[in-house]
Amino acid sequence: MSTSTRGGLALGMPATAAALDDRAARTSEWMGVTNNVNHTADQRSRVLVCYPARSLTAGGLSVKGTSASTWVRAYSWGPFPVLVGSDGLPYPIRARIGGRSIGGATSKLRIGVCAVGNAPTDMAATTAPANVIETATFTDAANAWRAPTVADQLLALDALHLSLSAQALPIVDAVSSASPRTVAAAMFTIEAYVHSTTAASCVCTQVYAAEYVGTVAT
Amino acid sequence: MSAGVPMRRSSIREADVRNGVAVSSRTHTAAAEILNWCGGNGECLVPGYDPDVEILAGGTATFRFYVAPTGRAVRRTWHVYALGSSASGSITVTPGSAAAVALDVSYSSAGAVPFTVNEDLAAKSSAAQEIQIKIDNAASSGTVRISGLDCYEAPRAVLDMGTSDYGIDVVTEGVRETISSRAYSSLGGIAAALALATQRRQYLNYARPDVAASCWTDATGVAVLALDTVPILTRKLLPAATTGSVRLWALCAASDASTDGEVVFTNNATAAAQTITFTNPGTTFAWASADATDYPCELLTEDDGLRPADTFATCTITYRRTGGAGTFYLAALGAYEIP
Repeated sequence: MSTSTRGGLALGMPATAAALDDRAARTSEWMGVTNNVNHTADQRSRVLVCYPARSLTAGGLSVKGTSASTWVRAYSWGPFPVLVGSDGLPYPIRARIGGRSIGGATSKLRIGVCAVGNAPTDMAATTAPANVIETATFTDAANAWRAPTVADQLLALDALHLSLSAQALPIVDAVSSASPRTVAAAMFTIEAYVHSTTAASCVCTQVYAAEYVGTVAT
Repeated sequence: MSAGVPMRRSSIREADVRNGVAVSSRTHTAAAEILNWCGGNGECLVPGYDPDVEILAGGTATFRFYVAPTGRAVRRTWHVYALGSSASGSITVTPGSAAAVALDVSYSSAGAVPFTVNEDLAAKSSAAQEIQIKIDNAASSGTVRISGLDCYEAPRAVLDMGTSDYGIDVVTEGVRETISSRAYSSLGGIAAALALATQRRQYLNYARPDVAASCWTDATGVAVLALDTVPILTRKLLPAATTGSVRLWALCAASDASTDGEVVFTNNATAAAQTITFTNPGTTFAWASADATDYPCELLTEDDGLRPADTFATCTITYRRTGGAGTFYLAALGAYEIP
């Protein structure tokens, strides 16, 4: 949930160390800095997937040799080190998915954010869990973003997801591969799954996922 | 002294800052930790997408992207999601100037996972720049479909306390420590780091190989759809802001020296369009950009941030040849925030 009180940056704040050197800071300056630090961190969120359709009727990825009426992976991106907020939970993910149906088959899609290794379970669950959004069914052959079966297009991640995703990510901490070490990170993949009453008749053509922090508690 | 980057961010209680009361170390330390967290977590330079490109046995594809880095990253992490079109295969992936990595490709999507390939950088840079990844398919391999690409700046564990990273020393921000006036542990240091903590959010990076056989082409002069309804929802920077600014990029060339073309980004929220014009671009692919100032920004009072409520703000991108008799080529499209 958003932590800044003003819902945006306060202008006119000192931007260099020299601007505050050797003098007492005003209360207004400190208040502006605290608001701006919180808002900057709130808005640090990133777009993780932006895959729009290249055509109105073609493109995208159907899945080879799949059975009818089963959830099958079309795409997997990441794993990404998702930002972890001051409430100890990963930043929520705004998500959207779209596609088309072949031959009028009744189709639907799912988009989810999953801890590494958990996608097959989460994405194929009988009822979509909180980290998965399922679309309404569709039968038309045009590529389109599909309406979700939930009111808001936000994927919430709880403490269990965080515990499943936390790992020591190998990194380097200086240029030219110097200083190898690890950093604690919550690693999640963005998954897109397809489902159709006729085998291989649902095509995923567009996916979007972005971290988001607003003023409404999730 | 340390400028460690925490996994979990802190938050400051603005109510703790009051007239006539000294600012506590709790406020000071939280500010330092948040700014180290902001500086240590990188940007997603290439949001995941599907290039929808097949590479034949013995073939090569180079994907080029235009990005705005944070300036603190020392490693880029790429993911490549590849599937054999008719059989399994083997590819070699070369991110930037890093060493090539050989990978085996699965035929079945059920058994495939994205490959991780790291690109360690020789220098930190916040300059807007091109980055690229090259994928070679082995001569003995089957045709390989590149079904996913993404790239992010790997997080840092510790930031340098200097003008390259602006890390804040959290130890001297602690209880019972004197407040130092040094540039990387004082309120001045916090203010300086804050001024540089805002990254440029990357909204789109969609590249196809920069060769005539694989990129978007037009030889008719009629506008052709490149990307349909691209979600672009900008960051909310100021309290009353309803829109944000975006820099739009295109990578184009032509089949000869006298063919022209254009790429048009239409903001579906306003119907306003930005046109990137390529006059005699020649046969070498080159980047050009245009700026837009009217893309809707996040509505923070909405559960999912959509503005207007429950509606995704999008743009649609088309291209066409505008002059000459040859073919106009479009290889890549990008968009990132202008602060």
